[in-house]
Amino acid sequence: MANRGVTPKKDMIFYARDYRHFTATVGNTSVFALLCVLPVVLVFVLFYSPITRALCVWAGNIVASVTGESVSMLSTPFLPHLGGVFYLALPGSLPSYTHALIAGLLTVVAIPIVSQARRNSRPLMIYCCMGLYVLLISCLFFLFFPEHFPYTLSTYSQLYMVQAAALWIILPALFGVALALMRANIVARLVAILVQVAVMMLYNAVRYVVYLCFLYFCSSLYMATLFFTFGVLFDFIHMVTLYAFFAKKVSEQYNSPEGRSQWAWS
Amino acid sequence: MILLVVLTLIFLVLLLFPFLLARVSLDTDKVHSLVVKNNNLRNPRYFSQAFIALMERGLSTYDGSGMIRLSKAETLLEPPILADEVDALVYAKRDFAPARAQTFAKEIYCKGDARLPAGTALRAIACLGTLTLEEGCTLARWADAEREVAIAAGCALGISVSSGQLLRLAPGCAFRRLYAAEIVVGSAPDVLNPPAPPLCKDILRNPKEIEDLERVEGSIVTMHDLVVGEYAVINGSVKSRGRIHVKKGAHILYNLIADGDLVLEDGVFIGGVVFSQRYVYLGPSCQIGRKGRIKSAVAKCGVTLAEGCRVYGYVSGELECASVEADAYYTLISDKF
Amino acid sequence: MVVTILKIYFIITICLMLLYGVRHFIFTYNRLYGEQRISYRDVYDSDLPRISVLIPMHNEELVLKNVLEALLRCDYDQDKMEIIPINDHSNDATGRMLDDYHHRYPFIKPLHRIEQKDRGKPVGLNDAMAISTGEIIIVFDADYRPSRNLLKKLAMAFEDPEVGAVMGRVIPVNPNVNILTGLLNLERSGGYQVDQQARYNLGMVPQYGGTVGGFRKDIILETGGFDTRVLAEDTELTYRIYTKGWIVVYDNSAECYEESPETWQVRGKQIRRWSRGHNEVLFRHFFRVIFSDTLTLPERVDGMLLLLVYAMPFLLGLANLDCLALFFLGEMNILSGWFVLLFIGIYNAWGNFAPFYEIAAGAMLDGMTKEVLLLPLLCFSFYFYMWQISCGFVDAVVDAVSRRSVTWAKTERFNKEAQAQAEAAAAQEGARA
Repeated sequence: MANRGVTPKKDMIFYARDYRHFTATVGNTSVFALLCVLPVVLVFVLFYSPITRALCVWAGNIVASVTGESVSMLSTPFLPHLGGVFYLALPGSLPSYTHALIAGLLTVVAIPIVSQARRNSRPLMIYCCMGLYVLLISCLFFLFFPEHFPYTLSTYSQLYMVQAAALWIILPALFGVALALMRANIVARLVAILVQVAVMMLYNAVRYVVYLCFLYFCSSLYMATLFFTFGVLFDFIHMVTLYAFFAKKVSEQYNSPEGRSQWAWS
Repeated sequence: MILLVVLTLIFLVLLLFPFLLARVSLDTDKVHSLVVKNNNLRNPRYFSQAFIALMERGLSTYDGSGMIRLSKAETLLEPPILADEVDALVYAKRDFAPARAQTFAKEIYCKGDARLPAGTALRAIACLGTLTLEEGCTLARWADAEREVAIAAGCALGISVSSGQLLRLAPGCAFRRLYAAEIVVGSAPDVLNPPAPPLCKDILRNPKEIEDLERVEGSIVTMHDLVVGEYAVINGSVKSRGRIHVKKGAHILYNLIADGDLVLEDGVFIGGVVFSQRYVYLGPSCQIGRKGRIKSAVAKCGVTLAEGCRVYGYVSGELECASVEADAYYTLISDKF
Repeated sequence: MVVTILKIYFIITICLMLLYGVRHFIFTYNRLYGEQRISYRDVYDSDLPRISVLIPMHNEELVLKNVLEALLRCDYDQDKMEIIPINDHSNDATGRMLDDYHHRYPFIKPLHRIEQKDRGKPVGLNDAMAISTGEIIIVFDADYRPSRNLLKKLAMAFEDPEVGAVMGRVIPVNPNVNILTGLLNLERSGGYQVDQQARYNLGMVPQYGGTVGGFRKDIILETGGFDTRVLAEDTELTYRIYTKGWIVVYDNSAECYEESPETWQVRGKQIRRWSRGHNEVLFRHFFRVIFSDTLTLPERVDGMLLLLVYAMPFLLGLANLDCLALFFLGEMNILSGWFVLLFIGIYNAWGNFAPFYEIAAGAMLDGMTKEVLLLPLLCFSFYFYMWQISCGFVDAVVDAVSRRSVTWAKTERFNKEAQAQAEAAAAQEGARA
């Protein structure tokens, strides 16, 4: 007799943001990790050697045509029994005393100028100052101990590719772990990882060519700066940018009128 | 060389795009601080009081046409109402006692006494007199009466039931929140009123058991599950990071708090607040609080009230809350300890 | 030998960073998917404890009216509360305005600290506690505006005899001023909505933050009051409470607006001061936490990691220098892959020690959407924090070695627009009520 037809509605009262959460979906997270993240990571673990080789073939052609030098491809051990990491070997140059001196003096002048930058840009200013200090140390090194500089352009290239191979394994895993926390469609998360991998590969490849050419033309003086100031940090920033966009979409979904029913409220 | 230039441009774009995108995407004019409701006050009878205020405002301009202006125009019906299913506000200037079970999809405002027959389904009711829900009524949201509220067996009580005086609940009901000066399940025994000495500030740490008839001066804080023996008296509060089992006749003169389940046997007296991050089970003839004071029995998960127990104030649980008969209660708690 | 030491240090730092990474992952997972512990805010109790609301003030003539009026509107029984504004060497109209309030409301009892030589929050709180009559002390900063039910929410936590202190949540009122305030809004979201709540859920160590919170007066008085040599008296209180066998409760629903710093310079001073104070507490309490017999294992581990939070940027900065040295020594060939792992630490430490996924989770729980897009910009604020916090760490080391006394400084206020907005919002709320 009761509850037929017209039914009293709205029998839920939601807390606001205090205690809402999702119900755990261990299955969903496990499936995502096993079917999406692990395969991507495994691809890089098992195939970093041919990937670096292909990258070196492509980059080597460009570097050779730009520099006019003879560029060879070498291999260095990375993970045991899984092949070596390929890298390009080409002659580089050390900076002359004058070059190092002028760069050092310019850096010394630039540091106080940059540190007086607009107050609103203080974080950027600190970051730039740190980069300038690295360059200053490099200049001092080349002024006083040029013969002890441990890297040629080839060994720098080796450093870069070893680091790139490590990044290809670690970054997708990291991104996958962060995405696993998001309560989102598995396909969407897989697409996000693939986009991240694509951006990472593109950036690494382009950066490799640009850095090698830059160091060839401008000398090893800037090696430390490129490695520390414009290095791995930006790979992470790309990953975080993609994550931010993904998180924004997920947040919009779960804060919409339809999405609110997905929350658990106690 | 052109290729190098192109690659350099691509590199610079990739280098800078995260920051440019972040900066451009964020329009600070559209960013607002999180809303903090500075004027909110917690009121267990908020729903009915807000509804009554809204209705009185609407009734002040009501012309008897059957449409009342609240936040929007609403159909208003006055008894007698013949339809089985009523999808309009109901306003009873005096008593409201339908002859048969009906379904009320919107709120009922009764200025007299209300008695809803067995099997009635309703969304909400605000009553200035007494309120009686007979067997098997289903409440979707809230019910409130200024005077006594009587709930018969088998009712599902929605979000909140409150009374300005006495709330009498039969065993076999499901609820989430109850509030009244006195809440009684079934017929309760005499009111307990043990002496209330000043709180002793000593703290006994990490016991696992309080013996039968033992008296503890001070509060108890323990990391372990705790058993409070029969007729023990604790002049303080009790807190456990595990479960607490209070055996029959024990008196805890202040608060009882646990991270795990709280199980109280019959005749237990708690002078203060009962709170659990899990379930609270109040046994037959238990008493929470004292007459004239407001205390609470709050559980994150659920509260079970056995027949004969009495709470002065507020009962709340988010999941499974129910009133049960004494036999059913002991079956329910048999596997708890 | 030197190279070996540098490599070992490098690897130790990576391990520490991974440990923090795991910690924050656990917190984020717990907050998003785990069972949430509720606070005591749902309790109704007609027998409320007597509270004393302490408000340290130094030249607060612009804002004191707001906090006092807000407290007067609170629904706490005025017979059971007193308000003690602490006029600490103000040279504006603060003293006169407070006396005026006292004449109108006798339970507002200003404490004028003019004659005393020593200044600062801890010494002011000590003096106020000495004259207070409440068993529970609740502290607000002068520019806060507590909501009407905030005092009750905070006081209810002390129904639990194990609770020594309660902490509410601060919400920036000015997130739309510039990028800095937008970033701080995100950091606060991650820090409170996820970090603090998860620590409360998991039975770890939610931190008492010194404002929008309260504590039992007896605990502090029995242990000699606040230590006036410590800048971070709130952190010191947290550890004192835990090592004495009490706990801190975090109430995610006890919200109060605060004003975030609007310039990097002010933020830098603030974070440097926090770092200095926090590291002073680290030096005092680290071994006490390890050897305490009142802490559970989760509390002990989390307590240690929390203490180290403002030392990590310094260690991370050293690790960066370490890498630089290894680079010029030609040792990066082997470690260049591991260098990536060091950056896990850096990405972990974005924001105010919340990783990006933790901040994103907090933003989602708070219902924020487009604000999440600021996440990439946090990377630069990390270097800013690393610098300021490292300076604070060095300050703390110098304090410890030289036993120098600390000088208090108040965070500059920017309350022009924020004031106007908050007043407009309060007026709207009042009209609706």
